[in-house]
Amino acid sequence: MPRDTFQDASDDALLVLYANGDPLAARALTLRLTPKVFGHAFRLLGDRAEAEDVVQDALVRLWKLAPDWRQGEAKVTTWLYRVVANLCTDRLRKTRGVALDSVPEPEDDTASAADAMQQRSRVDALQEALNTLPDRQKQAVILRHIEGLNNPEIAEIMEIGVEAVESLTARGKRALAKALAGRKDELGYSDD
Amino acid sequence: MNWGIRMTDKQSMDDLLDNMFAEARTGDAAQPSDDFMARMLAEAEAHQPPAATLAPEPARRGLWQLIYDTVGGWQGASGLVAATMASVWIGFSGAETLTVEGLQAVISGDTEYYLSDLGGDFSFDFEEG
Repeated sequence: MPRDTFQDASDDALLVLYANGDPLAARALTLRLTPKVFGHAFRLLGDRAEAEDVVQDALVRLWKLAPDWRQGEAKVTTWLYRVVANLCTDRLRKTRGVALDSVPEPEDDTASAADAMQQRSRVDALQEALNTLPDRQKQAVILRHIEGLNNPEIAEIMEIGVEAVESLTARGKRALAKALAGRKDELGYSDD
Repeated sequence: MNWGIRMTDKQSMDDLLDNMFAEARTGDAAQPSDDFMARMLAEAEAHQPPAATLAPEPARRGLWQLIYDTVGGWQGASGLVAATMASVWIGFSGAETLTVEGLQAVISGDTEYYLSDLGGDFSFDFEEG
């Protein structure tokens, strides 16, 4: 794929250029944002086709909003992560038919995700374990530990306080550890 | 905090999770396909507002056009021509009153002949005035 030719330009600046009709900015912004939000959507949904639909929807919203984008008010990625997460939540809600935040956290003695992960790669195992988490925990863990965002930025995306982010990531990581605890040998990690 | 895993186990689980996060970060599983990227590029172009078009550069003006505009268009130019023609006419009509002697007097600075050699009817005018 072509490389981003505006490496030093901010997302904000590129969006203004995009709105002004600069075709190179359209290209650069798409190449920069699509992998980020696709990865996030895929990890939240666990399904490539659904992730593609969500990303397409979110990016089209961004392109339509571009002429009215107010520079400096919000980061483009923050806005986009929030839209993607909301779209993913809507899809999961329809799939499950229950309110996401009402999903109980895994019980201490529950390691069903790990039991169902026979002969899977570690990345698949992690995804499976992530899918057992309540959505808010999953989103916070993904943003913090996989996307590498800092807590204030996650707080802005999730529209919660920084302390709430810390709590969600701590509980999420703890639940992941439980889900994967019995799989260490299988996943190639041993205590020796 | 003790949540069912001994501290040594907790440390090893933290390491395991950190490694798995790193693998997930760099792995291809969550990367979009080339086909999807191509579709997103087409989508971005399709929704992009058209670039504003620049006004065409005005044609370069020649020297005569510049002078014409400087004097104020056709009104200024016709006034200039009229003034020029008037001064030419004045020059020709005034030449009749000059004689060769008069010119010589002007050139040599000899004022003895100056007034009387202007010709015409000066003496007559003085007498009448």
